[in-house]
Amino acid sequence: MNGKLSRRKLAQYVASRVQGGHVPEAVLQEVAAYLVESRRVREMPLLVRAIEDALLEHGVVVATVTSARPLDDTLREAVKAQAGGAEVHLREIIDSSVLGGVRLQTPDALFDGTVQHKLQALRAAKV
Amino acid sequence: MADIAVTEVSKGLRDAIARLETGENMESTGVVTRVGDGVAWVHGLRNAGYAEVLEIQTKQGVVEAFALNLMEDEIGAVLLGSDKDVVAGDPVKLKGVVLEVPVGPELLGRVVNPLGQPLDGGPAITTKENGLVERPAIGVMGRKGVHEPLMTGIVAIDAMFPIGRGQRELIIGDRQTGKTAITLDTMINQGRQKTGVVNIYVAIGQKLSKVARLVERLKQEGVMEQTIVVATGPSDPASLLYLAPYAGAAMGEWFRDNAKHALIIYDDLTKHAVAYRQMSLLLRRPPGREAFPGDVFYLHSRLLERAAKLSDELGAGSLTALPIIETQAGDISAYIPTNVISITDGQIFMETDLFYQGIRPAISAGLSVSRVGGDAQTKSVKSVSGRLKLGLSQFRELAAFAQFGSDLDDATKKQIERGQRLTELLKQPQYSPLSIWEQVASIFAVNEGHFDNVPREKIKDAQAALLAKLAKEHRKEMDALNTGSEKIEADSATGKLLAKVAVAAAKGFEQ
Repeated sequence: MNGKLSRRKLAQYVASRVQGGHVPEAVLQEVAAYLVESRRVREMPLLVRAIEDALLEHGVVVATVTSARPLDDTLREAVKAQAGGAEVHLREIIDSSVLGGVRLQTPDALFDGTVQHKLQALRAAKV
Repeated sequence: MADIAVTEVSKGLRDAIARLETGENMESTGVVTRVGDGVAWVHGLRNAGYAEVLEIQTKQGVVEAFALNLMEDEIGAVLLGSDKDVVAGDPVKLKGVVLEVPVGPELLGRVVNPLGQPLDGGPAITTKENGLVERPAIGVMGRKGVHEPLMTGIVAIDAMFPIGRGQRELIIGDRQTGKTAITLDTMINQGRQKTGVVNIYVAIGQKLSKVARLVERLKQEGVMEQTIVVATGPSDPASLLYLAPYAGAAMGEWFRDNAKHALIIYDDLTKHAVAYRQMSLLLRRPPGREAFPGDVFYLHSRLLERAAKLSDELGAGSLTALPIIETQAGDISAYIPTNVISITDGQIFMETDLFYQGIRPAISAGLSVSRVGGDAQTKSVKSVSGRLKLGLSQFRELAAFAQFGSDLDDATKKQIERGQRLTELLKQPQYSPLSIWEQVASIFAVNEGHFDNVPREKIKDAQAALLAKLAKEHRKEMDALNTGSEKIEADSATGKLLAKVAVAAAKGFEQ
């Protein structure tokens, strides 16, 4: 294979095949094969990021929500509204170390409303 | 096939990659796409390393090559053998090693090629160890100042441009000026003086008849048992010429690293640079000045940096390098000569004019220098050589006036005559290196004016008579002098003895 496909190109290809928040497994197989063949497996985490960036351009937001307890439906809707975008997909992470509140990470923004963050801010302010 | 949620892309990709990467035990292979001029281009083998050995499976057997150009989709490899059996389409495998040569005392007395295979018709060489052909030089803390002498046995060099163990001293000059002769005498001297220094002679593209003559001479002199000859001829592929000095250095490093002393002679680096230029141009690297590639300086600097005097913690071994450079019409400002001059710790410059005037070895006293050897000179040689250098440099200044003859005052005339006698004294036939006491006694006799009444053309005869008398009648004192630890002065016991014998020896030759 001559020339090397940029990460951006690969990400755009994957993003263009996304339908209803799902990627066909065959597409991932293709990309994985390409990464292995061109010895670029180590780029995988960066590629995932690039895919989320590319999805953002299509109005699809892939956001990570971290909270101490599982979200209920009302809260989930509120978080989705906060993330913005026509279509929002949440990756929910339960982490008791945040103590309370939620942290919302979208490809281009971070909203940190956790108790852990507020305590850290207070500690920093005291110094 | 199931779809994967966008939030699970990371996991999905990781799983897919894990499923693909199961072929751990698969051997990667490539294929020759083009071949010619000793260079093969290989497609595939993406995991090949720099200077790694490739095995090309031809119909006539395996031909080895080493990878020098690693490009995105192609490898440029230089063949270590003939390219006549290699054809496009031949499969290529990685050998899994970078280039190595056998090293160790088993090589002593042998003539080998740069891959360590015997060329002297002797049995195959089996050594306990192998050494890397390309190996980084030792660092700062592993080194020590050069302080022990490496006696060449040539009065002009040992007295004026002394070489120390671990030094790099360039021998430079036109063709047929006696460059190889100096190194040959130095090798012979190591045997005669029983210094224990191991000689490694690396012939790079030298006529094999010349190498054969040299080996024959070394055998006659009984020095071959402490010598390794790495030989490449003009008909060998450029890759072997390129590897020869590195292979020789690897063999020398074994002695250096095992607390021994070795002397390595690269004859000559001009041909080495030319061989590397050929390889580089065939590998399509961009040409620079005189069509040499951009890294031709690094080519020689990394080689010569491997010559070193090791610190006491590392065993205090040494590797001394005498690289040879051939100039064209005495032009030392050409590309390769200036490069190597700037890398080495001094140079011995051979002049064609001197050679044909009969001043042999034809060492130019003005252009030669040794930058670190002074510390390595033995006390006794140092005590007599200071006045030798002074006398010769005064003589050079006044030599232009010599043709006016009678118009000169007595003091000037005397200096000129002393200079002419010293020049005469420094003439030395080939294959007759002198020991320390012989050098000291000869220089002392002329310096102190004991030979002032001996005509110029009889100086060598008077010297011979002096040395014979000393060897016969004062063996014990001379053996003591030979250790080099005594400072010789006119009023010291040894000084008086030397003066007495010199005056007696001069008697028979005075006019």
